[in-house]
Amino acid sequence: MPVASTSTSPVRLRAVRLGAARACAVALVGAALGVASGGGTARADDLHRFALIVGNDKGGAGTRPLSYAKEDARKVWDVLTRLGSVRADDARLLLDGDAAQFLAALGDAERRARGVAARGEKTALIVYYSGHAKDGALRLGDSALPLASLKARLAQAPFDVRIGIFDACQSGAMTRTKGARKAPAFEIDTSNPREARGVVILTSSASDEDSQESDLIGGSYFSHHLASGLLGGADKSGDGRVTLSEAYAYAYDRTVADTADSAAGAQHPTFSYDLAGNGDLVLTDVVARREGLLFPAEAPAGTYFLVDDKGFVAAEIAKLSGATRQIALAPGRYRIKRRLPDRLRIGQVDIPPGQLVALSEPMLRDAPFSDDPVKGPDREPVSLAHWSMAAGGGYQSIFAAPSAGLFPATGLAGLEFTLRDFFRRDWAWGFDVAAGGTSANVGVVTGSLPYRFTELSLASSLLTEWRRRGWGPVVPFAGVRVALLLMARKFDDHALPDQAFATVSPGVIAGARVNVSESLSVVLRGRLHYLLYNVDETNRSLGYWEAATFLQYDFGGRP
Amino acid sequence: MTARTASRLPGSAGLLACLAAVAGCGNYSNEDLDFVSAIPQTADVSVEAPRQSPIRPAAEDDALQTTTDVTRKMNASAAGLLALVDQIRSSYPTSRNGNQRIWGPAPADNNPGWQFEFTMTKAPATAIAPTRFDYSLLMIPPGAAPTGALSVLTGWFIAAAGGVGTGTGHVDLTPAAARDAGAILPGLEKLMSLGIDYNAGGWPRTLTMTIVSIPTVDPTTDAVNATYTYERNENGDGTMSFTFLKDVVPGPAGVDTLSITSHWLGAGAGRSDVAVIGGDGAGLISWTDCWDAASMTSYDSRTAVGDPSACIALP
Repeated sequence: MPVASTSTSPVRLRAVRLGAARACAVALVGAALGVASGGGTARADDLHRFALIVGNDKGGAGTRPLSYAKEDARKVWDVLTRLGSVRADDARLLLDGDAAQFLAALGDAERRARGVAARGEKTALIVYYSGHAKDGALRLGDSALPLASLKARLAQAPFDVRIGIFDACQSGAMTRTKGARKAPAFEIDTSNPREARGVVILTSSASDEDSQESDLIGGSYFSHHLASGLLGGADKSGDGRVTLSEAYAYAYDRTVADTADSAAGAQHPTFSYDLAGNGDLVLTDVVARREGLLFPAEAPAGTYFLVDDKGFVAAEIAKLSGATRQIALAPGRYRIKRRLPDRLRIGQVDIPPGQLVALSEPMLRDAPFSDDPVKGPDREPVSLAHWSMAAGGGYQSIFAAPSAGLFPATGLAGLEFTLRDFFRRDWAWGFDVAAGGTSANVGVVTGSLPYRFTELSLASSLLTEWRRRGWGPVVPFAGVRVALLLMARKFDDHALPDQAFATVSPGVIAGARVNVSESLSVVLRGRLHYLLYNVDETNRSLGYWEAATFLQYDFGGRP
Repeated sequence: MTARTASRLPGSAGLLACLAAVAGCGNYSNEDLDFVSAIPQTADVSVEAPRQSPIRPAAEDDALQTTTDVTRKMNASAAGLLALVDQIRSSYPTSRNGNQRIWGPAPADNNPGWQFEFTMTKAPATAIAPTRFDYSLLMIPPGAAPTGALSVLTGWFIAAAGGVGTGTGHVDLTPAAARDAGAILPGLEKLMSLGIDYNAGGWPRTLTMTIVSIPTVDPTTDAVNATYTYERNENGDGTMSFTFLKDVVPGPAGVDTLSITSHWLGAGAGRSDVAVIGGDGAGLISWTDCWDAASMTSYDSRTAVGDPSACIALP
């Protein structure tokens, strides 16, 4: 997937070609809301605003976990509470919640809105969702929330303005797309805009399209550009306020442009509106705080990337020639990049709390493309790593022929700890310890010696898991393993000293995990290992197999 | 073939070192078990006394007492041998080379500065000969060159079917040279040589022990040369023949040499047939002394006390 599309010229050219479609959509919005000329716009402080921000990386059976759904939700929550006139008390951030929690949070907002309305205030609700959707329903973990009922619920919600922003789809056959397999796409019905008066619904993609994520920007394209727009990038009018239609137009342009060349195909956000009589809605006021980065009119035109101290693109701003842009960045240190055909212009700026810093060209310097801060070596990726723990037992047997009865077959009980998505997505780094023992006999010249055999193994493995192959709850995996084996035997004849052997044994693993629930799974696996035996004069290359079943608990991604 | 070296169960440093080389380490060896099993154990070179109880009855029969004392003496000599080989058997070879295993050179117990080296060679079974092991123990004085090693023990063992350790063996213990060079060999201070032939594992167990001791000032108490022949059946019945010094016939020779053959049953009763073969009554006097299961004299032909029918039958 061309995740680097945010900075490549060919994609920008594609955006120009797709601009006509976006222009039609914006014209429709503008006509309906009467904002093309700036009239009738609802100011950010005219409404008592509530926000329900929901993010869930997991979509239950048949889906693969997303990487950035929760990160997207955090980002939108931050923008709305800082710039969107949504008080923190009125903004609910629900991460990894299920459908019941979603509806409960919505109900809580409705209850509070009635109280506000009773005081004569007008209210607005912004519902943002980033996660899975499938078969006509949002998928929050193992639970589902039918879109039709949610839409009806929003339509009946006691708010003057209701805005639903859904960054989701249900397809997922393509790498890095949201979802797990090809299926009819998630679509909000836009055919009858009058059906839900006072409701605006934005979706990240149209019918039969995937919504896509990017490791480079650390989020979904749509939410990334929406957030960038709300920070000020979308303030086309230059009045310091970003309206709903401006934010949508900005997100539309850049989402389409960035995904045009992706393997999953172009992604076209949709807009379902019915704000007749209310005019446009100011979503963020980027000048009120007088904090952030100011692009003065004389700043060169181009696309500027503002990279935060974690290496993520905090905002992506299309600066037009002669236009002023104020980007309400949160206080902090940012690197700035503007791409030219033959080089980069990069620099660094500190945004102190409560201060607006003006960008000037001398703050930037020429740099080669290798110094691109957007994909620089110090980029800190979003950590999706999470642990799981498993307990179970198995059986181990040395292949008989070359072993000359050295090591008996034995049962083993063990514990396994696995760190997933640490090195890269779908890779699992495991550590396991197992112990077992059995009674056996060994033949010597004059007879047979009974003994007690014990074994302890400490091992580390590296696995790749196929979590998104559409095999339902079954997740196959395979990989390599290196084990430290400590084997010993104690003879019934106490006149004979104990014997012990330690060795490093490499091997391969294959198996499958059957997900029983969101966190619980049954693991079935087999191993084949090589074992070099070299105590006697003649080295022996031995092998052994293991079969085991484990019960595994997944501690999930970071909250 | 190339010799391979391996220590005992390695310490943590050794463990890490060998694991770093992605190689196994340890002493886990089936082949070594053949060698270790061929080293004589306590049961192979010791005898069981006719009286099993360590408590001596107040009026124990004289012949039983003599026989029991002799078995204790035999076991004491064997203990000196076992003290030497136990250090070997408690560990695994230092090096392995085909059918040869070598323990050491390694520091010798109780002898600061001394080292020992135990070499064992296996001759695998052929169509006409069973598996045979030959071994020797050398003690190396402090600072001595390898050629200065002193032989302390040699032996062999021929394996036989019937169970682990079953077979016949022979051990020659010759501690004098090492002792004269300053080695401390507990229990072997008066021993010039000890030869043991034994049959281990099968029944009847047999053992012949030949002891040559250092001549003492009082030749009436310790024989310089003594031979003990012992046999025991699975049911506990035993037989032992030996010579013994005791003044039983008054006369100018003083101490007499007695030849004693004792038989006993596993249940405890037994008899000794005694003949004077040296001293004042040599070739002239013999008698039978019987004891019952309670270790009391049941018949003594010298005094005609008791009932001869109370004696156990000769095997």
